[in-house]
Amino acid sequence: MRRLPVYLVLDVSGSMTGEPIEAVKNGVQLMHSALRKDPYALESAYISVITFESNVKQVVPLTELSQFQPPSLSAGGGTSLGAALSKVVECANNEVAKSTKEQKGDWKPLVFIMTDGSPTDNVEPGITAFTNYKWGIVVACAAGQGADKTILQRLTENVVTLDTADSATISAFFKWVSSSISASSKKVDEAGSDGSSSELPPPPPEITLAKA
Amino acid sequence: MTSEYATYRPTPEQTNSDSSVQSQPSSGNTSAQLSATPQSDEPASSDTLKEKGLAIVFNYKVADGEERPDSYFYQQITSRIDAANIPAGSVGVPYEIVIDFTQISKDLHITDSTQNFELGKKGFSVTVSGEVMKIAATPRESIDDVIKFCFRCENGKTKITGKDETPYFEYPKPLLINPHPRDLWQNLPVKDYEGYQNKDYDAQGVSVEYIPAKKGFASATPAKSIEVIAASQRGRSHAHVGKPRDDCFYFDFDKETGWNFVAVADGAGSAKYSRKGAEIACQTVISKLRSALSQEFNKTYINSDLQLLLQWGEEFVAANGKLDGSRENEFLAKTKLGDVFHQSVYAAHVAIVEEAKKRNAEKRDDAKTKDYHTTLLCAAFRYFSELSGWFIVSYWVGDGGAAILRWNKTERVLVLGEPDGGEFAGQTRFLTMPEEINAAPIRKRLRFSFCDSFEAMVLVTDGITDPFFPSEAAVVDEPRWLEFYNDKLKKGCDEEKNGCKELFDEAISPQEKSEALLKWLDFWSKGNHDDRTILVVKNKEL
Repeated sequence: MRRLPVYLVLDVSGSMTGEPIEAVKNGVQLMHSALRKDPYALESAYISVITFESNVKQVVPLTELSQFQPPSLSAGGGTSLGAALSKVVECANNEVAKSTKEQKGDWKPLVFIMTDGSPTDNVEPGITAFTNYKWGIVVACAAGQGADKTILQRLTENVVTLDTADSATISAFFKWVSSSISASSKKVDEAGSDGSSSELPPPPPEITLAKA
Repeated sequence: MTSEYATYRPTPEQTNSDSSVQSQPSSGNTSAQLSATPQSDEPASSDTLKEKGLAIVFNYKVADGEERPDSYFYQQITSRIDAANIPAGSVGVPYEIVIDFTQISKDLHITDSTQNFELGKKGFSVTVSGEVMKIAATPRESIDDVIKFCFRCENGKTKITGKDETPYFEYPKPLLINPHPRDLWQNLPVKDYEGYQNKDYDAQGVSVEYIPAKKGFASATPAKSIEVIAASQRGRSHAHVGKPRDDCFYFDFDKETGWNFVAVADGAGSAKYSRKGAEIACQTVISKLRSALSQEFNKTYINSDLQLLLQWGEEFVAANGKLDGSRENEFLAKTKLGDVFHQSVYAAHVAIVEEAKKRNAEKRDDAKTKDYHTTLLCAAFRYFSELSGWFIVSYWVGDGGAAILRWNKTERVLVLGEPDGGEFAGQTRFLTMPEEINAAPIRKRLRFSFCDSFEAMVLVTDGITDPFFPSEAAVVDEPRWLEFYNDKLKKGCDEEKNGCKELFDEAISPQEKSEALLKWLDFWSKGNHDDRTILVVKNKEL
């Protein structure tokens, strides 16, 4: 069976302490409980969570949706976005099956990146590795005023901004993430597409699509 | 829960670590605090935890002379619950949580107090063996809840609220049992056929018998009988959103000429009128073939074509040493029969183009040929004589598969074409693509096959090949076809192992076989929810 891999790359740096990190935690839970009711997603989506502060960790390896448990997250440290980008490429290289003549591979992975600050590490190697990988849809979310949009815009044309990193806005973002995953798992089903369609459902009012 | 016992509440930090995967019991850590934290100080998520909860209550007894404080036991027991790393389960799949309480105290007794009523109602059993607790079930329903581990010390005393009370702890852990995806799919009637109505399913079976014309006084040619059994079903993903079935099959015979015709087609899921495209493709190609392959044609061309082939074969062998199957095919594609197939496939393409134009003229809804995108797998075949055996001409564009199984009483399989897709998964070709109507691509896709006998010819759409063949390229793999035919079709392919035995039961009519085949099409295969169509030609000698 061809899987639809989904990578959530989440900023858990010190600035996310308090309401933002709680909102992200709830957001992941919200997303999970919405997706587990969607038969398309339940049959094809696989989810992984990568967090970054000063260190980068894949807190949930690519896991079948029915086995996925929302991870516990705690905030603190710097914003190693560059290392996180390298990590998601490394994980995808290890976990996502490529199509060969003998075996249909997985669909192209979806990536959702969320950050509220500016990188504190050297992002260039990470950006190079990331943009060389063939992703399906990449959505980057700049949460709050302190987030560095220009770097995210080098990763994808789908950059969204949240005016504030409060729980209502963050939960609206995750709701949108789950409907994007639902839509993609439906689309890969309509044979013919290679899962690389860049169509996203319209974002809710809390989310602004950033202009390049 | 009654508040008969003082309740120990973990501090928020402890709650936060509750789903940590790596948390290991650490005997040295006794930093847990006994506190009667007011509810309002707890994070919001804990409040929601409290509203629900499937309580499981158990007692524990510590060894005589145990000096360690209750906080030690709280820390130990909860860390063992954490270490059990409660997994997510699925409806219908056996599920077990094992919690190991060994080596907490030199003589710790854990007994199930049989108050696990709420969990019991959900079909879970709790058993304790020594210091190991097992919570098990084959869940019947989906659960998004919390197991509330409540544990009470039978022989300990502690000071919580200033007076001696029996220590009583509650420790909530999320319990997630996912629904079976099958239960989430809806089966909705088609919302709007947009003028192209069809049925959600189709099942048809017939048998055809041929008594060959007597040649002279002692013809030993046996009579031939075939059965054509076909079924087609709307896929779960179409049923879920009230979209119609886009697959179809069609077959026909001409008893006078001895030609039989079969076809399956899969309308593209992304093309809005593809069901009509599939239908036109099947019907047009067969009606054109039928009228072209007349008795007249048989007399005038077939024999001469075959004669030409023999002659060509001799020359080829003389020049090259031995025959090479692909060259033979190349040769036949240039014969009159090749022309007939070329014209018929072309006619099917044109009929679809015309349908789009007609719709556009009538309804002005801007219908385009690509709105009718469809694959096509079709074959014309007939029995000639004992000398020539069966002759099968086939055409295949797009995904799906077609093969002749067990030809000449061997375990060999003749695959009737090459699948499209190959390198780039997900890409397929359609009959309706402009580049598919030229002579070269049509003739390249033709296959001419001869065999003395065969057990079955099978034509399927990708709703069948996807679950059973790991890639488009694997559709040419002979062992996989045999496995599909002998195993998946006969013995069944999902948890219920419902094979279609009826297909091989000679006491059952072809129509009944087709209805059994339709039932078989309902097999469960995760992630494969496209329309499914299968057409089987069974050959038996009378």
